[in-house]
Amino acid sequence: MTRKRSPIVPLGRDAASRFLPVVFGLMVYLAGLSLAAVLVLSGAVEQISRQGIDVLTVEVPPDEAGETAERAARVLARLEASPDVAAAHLISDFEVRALLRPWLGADPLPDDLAIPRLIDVTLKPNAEITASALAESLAAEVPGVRIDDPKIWLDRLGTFGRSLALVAGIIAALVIAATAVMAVVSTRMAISVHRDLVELLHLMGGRDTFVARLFQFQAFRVGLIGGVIGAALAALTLLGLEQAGRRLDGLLFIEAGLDPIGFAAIGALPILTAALAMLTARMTALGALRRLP
Amino acid sequence: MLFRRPVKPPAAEGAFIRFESVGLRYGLGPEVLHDISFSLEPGEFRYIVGPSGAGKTSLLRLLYLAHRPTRGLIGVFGHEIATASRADLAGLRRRIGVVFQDFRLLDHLTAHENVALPLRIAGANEAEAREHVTEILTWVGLADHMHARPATLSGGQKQRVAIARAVITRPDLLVADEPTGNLDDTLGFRLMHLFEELNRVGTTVLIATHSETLIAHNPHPAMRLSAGMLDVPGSLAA
Ligand SMILES: Nc1ncnc2c1ncn2[C@@H]1O[C@H](COP(=O)(O)OP(=O)(O)O)[C@@H](O)[C@H]1O
Ligand SMILES: [Mg+2]
Repeated sequence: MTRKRSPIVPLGRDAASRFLPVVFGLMVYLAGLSLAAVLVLSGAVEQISRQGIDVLTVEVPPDEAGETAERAARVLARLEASPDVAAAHLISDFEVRALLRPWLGADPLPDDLAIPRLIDVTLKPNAEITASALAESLAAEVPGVRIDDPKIWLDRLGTFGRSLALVAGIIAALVIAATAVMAVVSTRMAISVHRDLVELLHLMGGRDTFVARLFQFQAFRVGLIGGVIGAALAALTLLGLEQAGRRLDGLLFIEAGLDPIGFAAIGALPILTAALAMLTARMTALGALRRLP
Repeated sequence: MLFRRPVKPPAAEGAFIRFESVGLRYGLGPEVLHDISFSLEPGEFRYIVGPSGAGKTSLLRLLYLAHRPTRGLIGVFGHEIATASRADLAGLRRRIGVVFQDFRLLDHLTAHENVALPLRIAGANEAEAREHVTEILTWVGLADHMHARPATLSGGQKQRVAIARAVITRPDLLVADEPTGNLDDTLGFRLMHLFEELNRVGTTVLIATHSETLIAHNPHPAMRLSAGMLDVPGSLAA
């Protein structure tokens, strides 16, 4: 006859054992989402910072006489002579009109409307020159020339992204701290509910580590169950978001999504939660046991 | 070595069990045990007698290391408990079997599992333990109730489970707190028979009781406790 040995402390019957996995699950769900936010945002920030470094748009406005072609040609020549420039491409009048259409309406623009010319500039990969330095030297040659440096607003976007990632990271850390507190509180509660039993085991010569193990195993179990539930829900949520985000393809100039490493991190959450709950429960139990004579 | 090992007070030396001028108070309350001094030799069978409230349970709790004395020295198996390490204390507790006044059985475990508990704590081999527990439960006359839970057992049956659990590890010292307290005399005398059998095979037995009938029926030396003062007959004095 091989009967399964009953657990010494009947923790599975405590009222707490029914709602604890749910609470842990909720914590892990929140931790998973904020962790994903950190990963996605830092990935996006990195892409942003890689972009726009080597691509500039030079704007050549018309002068008082409304002349642009000759001014644009001078700027183009100047750019092509520059050692920092890999390529310069004059955007055709037609393309500029196409770009303006969303703002100015579908009606054909009057031919005499002075439209600035645009030049796409690709800098050499290791070019040292900044957009404003380039703009200054071009304006000296052809007054009124401006450079629209995407780096400035990309930088602002990057800073904003980093702030968001930081906030998400703080939320993740707070959720993890709250999970540890939950483990402490639930272990204290379990020990106080089973105070007599704990004293009895102590009097029978049970060592502190032996008694603590009874509680830390339960914390591990609850942490694992809750962790699996929470991580699964978080993964589902993220997949759903990614699906929705795919419809925006092309509108976003970055690929925002969770890579396999990100999903692996979410997948590791149950084990990490279980380990955190177990260690915290162990320390709590050992602390409580040390108060016995 | 950074710290010197504390010199062991001579009180504990050699003695099996030794109390020396032991006093106990609970928290800030009045002292409930005053100047308790006695010793026990291996193989003895002794009673502690006294009316309810005299301090019998308190004295036994000190002896089975559930409490620290407020003053005085307690030596158990040659170890001075004030200076023993936590690990040592756990080891000493394993050599003491306790039959609690209220049994303290685990309601969610069967009789068999309850009795096996001290062996689980000691990390004994599971298969051997199971066999040993079956033997002991048969010895106390519960062969037919191995897998019953305490709630379905009578008072006398629970008492016998508690005794089986206390002796399963063959302790050097068996302590019982009013073991016949809520049993009729016939059942009580039958239980005493178990204790005497254990004593015959070498276990030191100390039983707290308020029943003079019990002592008359199973005569053994008795120490008298009243209002926290112990009266040890001259022949027993340390
Ligand atoms: N945990 C406790 N806290 C405070 N007082 C206690 C406690 N246990 C016992 N006492 C007091 O100690 C005295 C002796 O009690 P006890 O040792 O239980 O005596 P007995 O077992 O002989 O009936 C009593 O006055 C009792 O009220
Ligand atoms: Mg009592």
